[in-house]
Amino acid sequence: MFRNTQTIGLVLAAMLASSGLAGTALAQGPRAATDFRPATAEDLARTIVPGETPAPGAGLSSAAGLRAAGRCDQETPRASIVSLAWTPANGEAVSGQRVEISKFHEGFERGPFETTGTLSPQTATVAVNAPEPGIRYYWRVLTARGDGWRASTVERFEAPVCPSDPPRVPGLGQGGR
Amino acid sequence: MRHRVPSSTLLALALLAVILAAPASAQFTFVDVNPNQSDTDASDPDGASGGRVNGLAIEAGNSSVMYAASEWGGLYKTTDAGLTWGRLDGHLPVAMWDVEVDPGTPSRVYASSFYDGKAASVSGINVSNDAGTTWTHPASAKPPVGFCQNAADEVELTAFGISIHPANNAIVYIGTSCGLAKSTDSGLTWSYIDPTPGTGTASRIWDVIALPGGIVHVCGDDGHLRSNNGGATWVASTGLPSGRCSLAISPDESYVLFAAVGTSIYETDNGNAVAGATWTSTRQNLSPQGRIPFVETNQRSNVAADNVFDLWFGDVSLYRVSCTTPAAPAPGGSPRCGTGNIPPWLGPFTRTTGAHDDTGALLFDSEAAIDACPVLLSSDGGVFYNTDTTPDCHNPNWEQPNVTPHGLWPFTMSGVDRAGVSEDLYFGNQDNGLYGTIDISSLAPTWHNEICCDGFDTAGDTNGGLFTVCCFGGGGRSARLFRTQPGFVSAVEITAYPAGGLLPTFHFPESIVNVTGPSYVLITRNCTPGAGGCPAADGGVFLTTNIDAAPPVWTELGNATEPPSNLLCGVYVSVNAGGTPTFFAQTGSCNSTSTADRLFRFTGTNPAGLWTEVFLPSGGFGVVAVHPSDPNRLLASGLTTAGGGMFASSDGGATWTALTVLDALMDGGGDFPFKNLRGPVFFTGFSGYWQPSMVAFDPNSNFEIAGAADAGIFLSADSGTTWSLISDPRTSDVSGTPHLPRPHFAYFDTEPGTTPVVYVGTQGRGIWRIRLEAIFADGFETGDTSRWSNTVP
Repeated sequence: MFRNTQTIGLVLAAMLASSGLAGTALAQGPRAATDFRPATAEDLARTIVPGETPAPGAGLSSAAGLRAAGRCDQETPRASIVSLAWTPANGEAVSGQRVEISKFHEGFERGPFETTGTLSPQTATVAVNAPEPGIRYYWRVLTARGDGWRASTVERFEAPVCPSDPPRVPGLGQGGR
Repeated sequence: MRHRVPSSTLLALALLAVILAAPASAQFTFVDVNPNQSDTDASDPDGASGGRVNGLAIEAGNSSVMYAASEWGGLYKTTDAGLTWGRLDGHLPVAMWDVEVDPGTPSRVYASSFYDGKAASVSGINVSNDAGTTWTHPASAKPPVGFCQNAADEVELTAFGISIHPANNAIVYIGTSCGLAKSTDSGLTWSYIDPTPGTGTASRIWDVIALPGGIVHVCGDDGHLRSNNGGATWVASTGLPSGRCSLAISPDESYVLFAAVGTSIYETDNGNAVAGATWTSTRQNLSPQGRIPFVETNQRSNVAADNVFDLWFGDVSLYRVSCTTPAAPAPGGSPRCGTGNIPPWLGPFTRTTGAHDDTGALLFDSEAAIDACPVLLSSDGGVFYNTDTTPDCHNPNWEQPNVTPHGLWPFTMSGVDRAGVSEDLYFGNQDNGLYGTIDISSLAPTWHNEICCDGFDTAGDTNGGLFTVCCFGGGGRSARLFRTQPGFVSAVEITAYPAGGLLPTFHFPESIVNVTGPSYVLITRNCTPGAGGCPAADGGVFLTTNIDAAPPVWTELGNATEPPSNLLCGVYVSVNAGGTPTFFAQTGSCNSTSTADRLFRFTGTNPAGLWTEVFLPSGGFGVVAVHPSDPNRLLASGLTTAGGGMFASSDGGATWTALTVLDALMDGGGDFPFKNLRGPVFFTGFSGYWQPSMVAFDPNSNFEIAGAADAGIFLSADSGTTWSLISDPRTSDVSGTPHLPRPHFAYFDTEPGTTPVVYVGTQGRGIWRIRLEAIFADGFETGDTSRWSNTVP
């Protein structure tokens, strides 16, 4: 469990298989509720094997091409959003995916980390809403196949810091942030 | 009150810098016209004039001498305990993180900085042996090939926290974007250490503490690690997240450490554990933001039988709490500074006690071994000294210096042409508020700081000024537009807005521009109704013929064919001799950080008119300028992933001419990569940037001006046929001609019969006046006004 009281909200804003939309549609889309949750003992106990480098012409056994893009929210001072995108593994044996995220170096080995619920095999993007500013997050995508979970490489992103000061104007009061 | 006699040396540094160019024939006169203080400080210290300052340093045993590392404006020094500050031009990198003074050799100073944009970079680690006058960047201060997690850091290094060994001052550690740098010979040579060894795995280390016995603590992208042998081997801790961080140590127990990571505060009481320290999030951050939170400790006198010290924590504001060391000190036990909010924080000690919010660092009196008063605070408003020197100084009362650092980053700048020599100039800054003057032409302009914080857009006419400011809370509009009297006096919010939302973020073109008289054009963006006070979703380009009407009436231009209004970011206007305006709207980032920006053109004021897109020969639009009275004349940078170039058009963008001579100047003959890889775009935004940062036309002559982020400022006196470098991006400390980094704005004041003047707004050095007393190859000479005219060719 995170000791920090701030929780990470993960927004499944675009369950799109289209990689062309990945990472951009999310940032502009509506912010839905999240089902990101702390990892459980079951999560920690599950067998995970590294993804395999595909042979030329072969499909992906694990998610690849992980990329993150963060920005400050232009409507809400001090808020930010980070879009995560990847190319899902393919093949009939893929039954689902999960995204895992941790604030800690080696957090997937030593914990703690958080995970989404099971995503569809086609999901290619999610967004982390209101990550803790300045934290270097580690993240990966797990692909459920018939023989277990295949892990992508572990990538990182830094949560944007979006400073903002509330002005004071006579007659208008000052902002509450 | 801490008032000490200013030294003549520092006063000389701190006076408005009137710097003559070094070349044999004086060509240009540069004058720093930035405000020395904010006149809103007394009522709201979030109005300020120093710009963001990060790290601070104080000379051991002499609290009069301090250093301040400006985020964008270079290194500053005071010798009068913080009353006046002067810039140390010998330190060449302008974007800085930290500075430290060798406690055993006060003339030796270490500084850490962000990438400087040079092919042969001198960023990262710099060392001075003459108290900051001259600096060296040792060749060994670069990481080895193949060492960095991000290969770009090998040539574009950034350095962070500095620690000098308390018992052997020849040993110095500096965290970098590529592991830990160590020197054992007072900074003469350096080696690199990766606390998590592997091939190409060295990542960012934000802070470091060196202790006797070879103990070194670091924090950063790999969390916290400790070495017991001077960095040869390391053990990882648990419980401390990865990322931007600050470390402090108990003055009583070397195994009790404190950390700020993200927006949270942590403590470990077993920092010496063989298996690695265990960190716990302890105290609550009452005002989280996370820009550069820091922790500091300060030894205090015993209270009764308790051995106590203070823990200070800064984020948005500054707080302290009294901590207690056990009577029988030993690893483990209860957190020394409590948990949750027990005992409660004392404070806040910023905006309500005289200092700008958003803290950076805190210095204590170096002449006291115990109960040392906090003497200097850095923040997003510069530096503030403590006026309380009584035993109550630990509840500080801050005051702005008489002459602050001039590290301002204008987000916006505009001028108002008036007959005669006196003109109005307006600018709005990152964090420091909106400034206006009605006498910019005078030797020392009188500035008025109307309102604090982030000012994103300015405009004006002879009846008054306009500005946008951010960021209001309380559910209303986050960014708002104000009308003022000339000089930004007596701001009143406008009574009617067009649809959409103002753009509350940094972008260098203006969102609002004066068309003529009281007529203005304003862009708004699509916004989510309700978010940030947004009243309606669809943004666009809106025109009012009278901003002073009650209320002003806004008419949208060409809604049916509008540019993508979710991406609008800048607007330009040109009014021809017949009075017909032509508008150009830019979409995308508007800050030259993208290859996807687009430009659109609209002629006239008919709401049913059509927008048409303008295309460059290659690349997306970066910086853009439209001649104020000839809409066919354009200057722009075209940005591609590989680089790009500068272009000019004389037919409204139908065709373009590549300005290859200007391109060559902007990359300095290879000295400044046209596009770099890891340069800081904004605070810790390390995605690289393109050199072109500014273009502008003089409406009254053939002058054109261009600016590059690192490569200097360039002037053409012949409508862009030839260009000359007029600032000094390489040897400003020797030549005396200043390096003005990241120029983004220019306002020409050319009056017949007087020497032409241009005011330039720079990211990190604020506003500068440049008198164009030029001698060009074509014979243009100082005072030779016959060679230029008011007639646009």
